[in-house]
Amino acid sequence: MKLNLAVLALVVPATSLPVGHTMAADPHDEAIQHLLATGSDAAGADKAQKAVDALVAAGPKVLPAILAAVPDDVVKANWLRVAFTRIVYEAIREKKPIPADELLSFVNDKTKPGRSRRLALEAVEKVAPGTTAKVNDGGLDDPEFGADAVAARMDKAAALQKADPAAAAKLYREAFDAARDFNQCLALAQRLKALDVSVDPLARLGVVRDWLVVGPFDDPDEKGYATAFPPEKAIDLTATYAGKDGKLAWKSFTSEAPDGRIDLLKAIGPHDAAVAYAYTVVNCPKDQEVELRASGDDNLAVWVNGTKVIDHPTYRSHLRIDWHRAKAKLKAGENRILVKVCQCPAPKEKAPGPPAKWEFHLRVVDPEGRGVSLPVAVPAPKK
Amino acid sequence: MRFLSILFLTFALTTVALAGEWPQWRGPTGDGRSDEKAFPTTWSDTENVKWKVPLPGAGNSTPIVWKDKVILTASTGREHTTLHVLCYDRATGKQQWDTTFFASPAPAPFSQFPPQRGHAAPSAATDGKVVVALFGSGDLVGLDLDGRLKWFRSLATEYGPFRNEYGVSSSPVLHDGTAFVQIDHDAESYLLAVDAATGKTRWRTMRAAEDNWATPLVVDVGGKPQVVCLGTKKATAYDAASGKEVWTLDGFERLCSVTPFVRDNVLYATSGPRGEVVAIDLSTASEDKTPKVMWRSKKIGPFIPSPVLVGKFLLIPDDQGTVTCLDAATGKELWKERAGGRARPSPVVADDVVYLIGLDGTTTVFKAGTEFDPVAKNKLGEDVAASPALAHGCLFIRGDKHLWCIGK
Repeated sequence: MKLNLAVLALVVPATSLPVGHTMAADPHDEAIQHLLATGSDAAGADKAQKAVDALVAAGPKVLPAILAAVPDDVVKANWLRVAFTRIVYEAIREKKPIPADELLSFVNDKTKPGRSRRLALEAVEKVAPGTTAKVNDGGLDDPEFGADAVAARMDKAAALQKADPAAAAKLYREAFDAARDFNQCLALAQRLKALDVSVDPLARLGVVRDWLVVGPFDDPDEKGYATAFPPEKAIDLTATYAGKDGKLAWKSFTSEAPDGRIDLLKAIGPHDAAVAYAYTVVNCPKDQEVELRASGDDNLAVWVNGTKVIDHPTYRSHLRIDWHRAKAKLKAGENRILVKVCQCPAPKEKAPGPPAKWEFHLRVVDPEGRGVSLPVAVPAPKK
Repeated sequence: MRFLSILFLTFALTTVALAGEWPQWRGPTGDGRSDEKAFPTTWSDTENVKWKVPLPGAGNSTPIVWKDKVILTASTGREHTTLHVLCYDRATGKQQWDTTFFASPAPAPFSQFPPQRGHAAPSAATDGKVVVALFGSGDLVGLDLDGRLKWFRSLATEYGPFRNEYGVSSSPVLHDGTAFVQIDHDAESYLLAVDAATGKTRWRTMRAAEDNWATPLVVDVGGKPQVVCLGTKKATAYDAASGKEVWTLDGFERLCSVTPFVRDNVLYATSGPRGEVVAIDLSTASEDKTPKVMWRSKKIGPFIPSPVLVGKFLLIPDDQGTVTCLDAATGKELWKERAGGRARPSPVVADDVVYLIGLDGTTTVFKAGTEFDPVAKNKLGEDVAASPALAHGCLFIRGDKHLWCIGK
């Protein structure tokens, strides 16, 4: 079968049968079931090898059924993947057609699992080069190809930037409005700024920048993470505490960093063997399920309305934005967020240089990964 | 008698003579050495290039070479969610196969957690029956030599995602049908022994270790194979058959990236940055006896590149291209030379000639002796983060964009 290029217009014909329609009647369903019976500790691998051979022998007609059967489980998914890719490879080598139209329909179906859609697209791309570019051209909101589409839009805008800055700005703005990826949002904001268009990428990404901080509490032997200092027991913004170098009180700090990280070296000072707390209050217009994405250097604990939702006790961690994630239910009105970050003792033979980093980053996203910008209502600390 | 016992009873089990092959990270003898001669010493991006092929993805795993095949790993995609085991014809560079996999789900977006060159830092290993490859995504695979999947393990699913801030680089090693995989990270660390034919776990031993990057080493102590792992201030040996810890030696730094090796019954282990090089007499080790330390060097250990031994000259490269030469018998420093630029690749040696590649792709070729004896500097014109392989008279260099076969 020769791929009908008209199909590459990415219109799914209304009469198309759902992919996988033939699965129940497929004589090779038994082979697929063997692949789906694989599991941990290489379970089922011996039968799976033979099942892959059987599917490869059956040829391209079984590709849609294989694709439709790919589950979330990564072991089973990979057994199906190797059968799929070997069939495509053999078909191309032997110059046999593959059911590209049917695979493309699968690619265009946003309800299908993302990685299976990508696998199908890779196969179609081999027989119809340029298909990926067309998919990316229209898929800014696509859950699987959205970031690729944003990247493609950025490339297109960059090529236009000198000759037609207004058109470039329009493309960048479309991409910014669709982007969910942290780095893409920041890069797009930079490019828009160069074209005199101002956007707030951190608000779009749901980064929380405004905090009250208190510290350093003393942590000489790396037991501070497991020690509940007073802010962990009760929030009292008027209180003072005995700290590592004297009396401590809450103070305001707003991040000016391009990515919104809270630099505790600036907020509190360059201390080793120390513990700091940060506290904020966000206002939610309604009850809302969100995901907190956070990271800390050295370690990190996060409480939402008194419940610990992130608990990463490892000292000597680096900050990797979004590394730790937790679902949280925010209620309508005020919601309290408390963060704890420790700084390990300096090594005995520390090389000369700047103090070790001490920082954290936190943002709030919706279940689809879009940033949720919530008004921060941090009470003023005691003067 | 002691000499004979050293000669016959104890040797690195990875040193089984495999003339011409480079079957794993650090080569056939596990120490970056080939017993072949007549490798080229000069080349450019056009001179002495037998072939060069574009690579489809990122990675800094070393190519391995087995008969007519050159095999390496890579990852592709914005989030490096597609894993590749690639095979090229050794003579022509023509791609023989490219077996691809879905990566296990990552705990965080790759763009925010960037090992510099994707999930393909560990090198594959083969014994001619199976190719075993590990990826930083937590996936371990076994293939036959034609690229057909024999088994797939998602260690990330079975035991938890790999939590290593720079990604995992420890390579699997094969010995007598078992693949040993050292996973040291910011969660429960372990040494895993897998039946290479079936993929099934023979044993898994938990390790009191944080994130490390060194590859384990199989050695024979008193006729019994032991797996030596370097990590988090210790060298620890495990019984290869059971996984039981048999001895441990303190005195290393917290970070361990450098792969230990053994020659003539002496285990050379390095940690760092700024750690000591430690020479350990394996003839004094047993199931209930920790081996004796012969000497400890000054704190010259690098973070990443692994050393090579040329005759009695132990060459310790650092991350900035400086090589320190120690007397292998005493640890005494003989000379120190800025041989090249910033480096990640580990040097390799053949016929007493050392090949040290810098990140910018320039290879410093030199002879090691009582002093540094430069032979050539060869520019490839492409960044190189992977260690080269020496096999069948050619150097196989994995650049950031191409796989190169340097040969006459």
